[in-house]
Amino acid sequence: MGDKVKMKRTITKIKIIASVAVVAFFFLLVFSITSISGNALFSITYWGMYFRSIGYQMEYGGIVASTTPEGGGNAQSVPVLLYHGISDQSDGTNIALKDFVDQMVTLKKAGWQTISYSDFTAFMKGEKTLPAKSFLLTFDGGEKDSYYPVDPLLKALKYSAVIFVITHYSLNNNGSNIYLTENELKQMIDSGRWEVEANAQNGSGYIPIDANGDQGYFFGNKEWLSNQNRLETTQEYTTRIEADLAGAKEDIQNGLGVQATGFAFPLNNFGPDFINFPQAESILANAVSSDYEFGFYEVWPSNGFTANYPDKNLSLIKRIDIEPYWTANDLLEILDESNGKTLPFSDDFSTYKGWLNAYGQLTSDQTSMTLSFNATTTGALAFLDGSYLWGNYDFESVVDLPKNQNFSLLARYQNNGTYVACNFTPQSIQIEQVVDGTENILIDSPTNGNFEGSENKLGILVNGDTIVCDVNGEKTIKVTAPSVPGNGGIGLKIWSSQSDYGGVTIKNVSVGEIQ
Amino acid sequence: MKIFQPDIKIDGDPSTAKISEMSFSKIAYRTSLVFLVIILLVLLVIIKSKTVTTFKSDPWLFIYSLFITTFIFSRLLSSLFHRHSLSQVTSAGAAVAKYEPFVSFVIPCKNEGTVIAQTVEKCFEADYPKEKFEVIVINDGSTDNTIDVLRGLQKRFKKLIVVDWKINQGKRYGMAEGFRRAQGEIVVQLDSDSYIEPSTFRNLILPFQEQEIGAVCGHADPTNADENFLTKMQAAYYFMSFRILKAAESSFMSVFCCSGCSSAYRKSVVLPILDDWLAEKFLGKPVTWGDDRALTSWVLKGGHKAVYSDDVNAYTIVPNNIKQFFKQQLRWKKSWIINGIFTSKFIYKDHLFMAIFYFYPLLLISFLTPFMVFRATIYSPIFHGVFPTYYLIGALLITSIIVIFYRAYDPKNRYWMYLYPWMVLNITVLSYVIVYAAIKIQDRGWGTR
Repeated sequence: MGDKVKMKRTITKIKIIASVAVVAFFFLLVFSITSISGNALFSITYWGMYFRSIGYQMEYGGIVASTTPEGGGNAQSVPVLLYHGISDQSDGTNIALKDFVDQMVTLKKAGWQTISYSDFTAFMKGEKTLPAKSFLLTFDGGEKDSYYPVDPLLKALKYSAVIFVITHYSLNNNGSNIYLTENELKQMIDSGRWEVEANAQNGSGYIPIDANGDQGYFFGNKEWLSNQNRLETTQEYTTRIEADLAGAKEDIQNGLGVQATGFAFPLNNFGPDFINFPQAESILANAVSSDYEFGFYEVWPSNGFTANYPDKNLSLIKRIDIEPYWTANDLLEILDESNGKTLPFSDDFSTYKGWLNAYGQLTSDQTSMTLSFNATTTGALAFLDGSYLWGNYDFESVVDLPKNQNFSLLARYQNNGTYVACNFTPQSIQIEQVVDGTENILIDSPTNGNFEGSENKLGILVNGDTIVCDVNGEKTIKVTAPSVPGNGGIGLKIWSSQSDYGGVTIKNVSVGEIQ
Repeated sequence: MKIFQPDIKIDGDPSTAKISEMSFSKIAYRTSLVFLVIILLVLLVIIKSKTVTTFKSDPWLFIYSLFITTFIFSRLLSSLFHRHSLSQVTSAGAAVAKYEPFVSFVIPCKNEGTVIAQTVEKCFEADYPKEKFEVIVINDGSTDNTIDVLRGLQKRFKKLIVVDWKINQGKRYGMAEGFRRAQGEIVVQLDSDSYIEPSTFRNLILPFQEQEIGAVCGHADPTNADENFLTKMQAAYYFMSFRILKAAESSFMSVFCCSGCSSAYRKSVVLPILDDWLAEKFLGKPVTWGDDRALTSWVLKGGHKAVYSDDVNAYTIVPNNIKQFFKQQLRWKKSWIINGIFTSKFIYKDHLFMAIFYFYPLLLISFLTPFMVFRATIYSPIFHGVFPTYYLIGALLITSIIVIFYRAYDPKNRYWMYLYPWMVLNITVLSYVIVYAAIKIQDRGWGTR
């Protein structure tokens, strides 16, 4: 009897030893093969990616982008999306995988399709047309978690992406747990779904910018040289950033055999947080354009329209930095509204139509929109995303204008430093032209403020170089201003020199095209 | 809990030998074999890493080769535990002397007039009490002088029982008749041209002292091994098939096929399933070969255990010409397919571990191999211009690792080098037999024996 128990136990023991040994052998075999092969394509994570791509293919592979989205055949503009890494949870920088999948699938279903980097540059130079709802998908940093969780989905959705790499980590290195290696990048390029451009050579982070050791962006500040107890000179700054820009391009050429023509400002930052050197922006922009065709930076309402419109002279490209808390529908709405809008246009504010506030507060309650400001700003400005290409039109708006509130209708709006405006103040109506932030009143016609109160219809008309303001259907003042930009969108602005608070309620907006 | 030591038989000494008892040269020999295995594994890994670049164009071949390498490793590893497992049912000492149940030899034969006499004589030479065994020969419709030879033998051997069938019924029916007539508790199954080395006979019966044992398989080698190149290759294959593959199954006491040339069964386990065994059909037709494999399956199905003992030396004849050889291979593959389907239906119920660890992977590999081999050695070279250098080197390395285990288990066996030509034969021809077998499965003939 005891023998039978012993026999069973022995056999069980053998079973356990054998199965553990075999499983261990298998993983050891796979592991040692992949380590020796040095081929990053074949790693444990690759298996995960491979099976994940099968899953995505089954679930999303059938989605076909609609070829005739509303608005017509060709894209007027192309938005660029920026992601960093994908992780299990979203943190400040990285987005959760399920949210990323949700966003991409939602975009695909709505007809948005990625384009290649070369198509994008051709479009921006006016050399190529693209289908409407085209966008460029980019990732900064060159990290593994921008690729492994992402590629299977790209494959299933037939999407492609651009990755901006930090060459010191990715190409001058023998391996990294965080950053993609040369082998991995080669595999990515071979797959046909990825293109590689430059994020930086070494300059992806911070340098000391003063004697206290405060840190600032590598590209945006003069470095504090602690051993010489001084800031670097302008020449030293220029040399340093030029070396990094050229170095990144050279590393990519040598390591991957690819000519990089795009540079993504590290942390998507060009301008803000350039702390101790006012000329940094212009020197940097020059340096970037000598090595690269395009520099990519972050867009938000105060620096203008969300998407990029073709312009042969343009070398700075705006990117939407995806916030981890955005839902897929949030993103879709942003992209849809960034799309070129056609005339005629009207808005009763029952749905969101793409108004962005450059500064101040903007709210709406589905019957009206309210533009307001408090002590933190000197006013408020909102503009309509997607209206950049509008040329000749008549922009009218029914507003509730409180007493003593200055209000402007903006037209030919390019950004919040360049537009024309009909200003409606308690004292007068004005036509104003703002060029690169410089304000110029062209006409000032005193009135006794008879557009205060509710339900006044105010309007601005632009036709060629001619600007007309109208009140309740009656043309009032008119001017011709030859240096007015030929196109631009509509906006609304309020300001006050006396009060810290102010607001206006807009009941509706309508814009008609002038042939 | 005893610390486990792999027990390796030395020079035919049936008792287990501990490392401490081995001579220095033996230890050096063992150690050098271990190092060789490690070196070969390292080379294998290097070769495989070179094929990683083909992964993109041929991922399934790569996965398959990893899978089959691991599977072969699992066989080799499992075979190390064989003697340890066997010792659980052959505990030396007390049992050897006392356990002597009545044994019946059952030998069906047809037209074996030339060899049957020697076979029967060898049975009676068994080192076992004369009064405790009998020999039953079934003359299955012979048209030569078999019956006369048998009558003559009956005069010499009182315990020889002859069942004379005028009309041939088939080996399976002959065996069944033997089981029904047997007096013995244990029934020994032999081919008409095979025999068990008399001095080792006891070891075939010994494991049955453990009630759960339903069948025991002995180690069979070809007597005509030296006849020609073909027989030498088969001798190498037999040794590997028994001492490594069956031993691996036996470590878990689940041998899947107790060979009909050298096996014994517990009668009480077989009798209840005899009719089912006889009635076996596949796709509407009776199954005319693979009796031994089928019978073992029934034993396992009943939850009983089947072990292999390399302490039992049996001898049999192997085909010495290509035509017979391929006919035999074809029969074996057909019976493998049929039995494989049959077994896969029940194996997960009572033997889940063996099902997952061994049987289903084996099934998968057997059916994938012809396609993978074709792809690697014929399709890719012709259509992609890729010469299968790494595949062949890999096969060479794996065969060499098997050879090392072969050499460890029996340094005196001279046929180890013939495993290499066997591997070549496998890659070029034998892998595809299973496909042909599947196509021709309804052809239930024997071909000429």
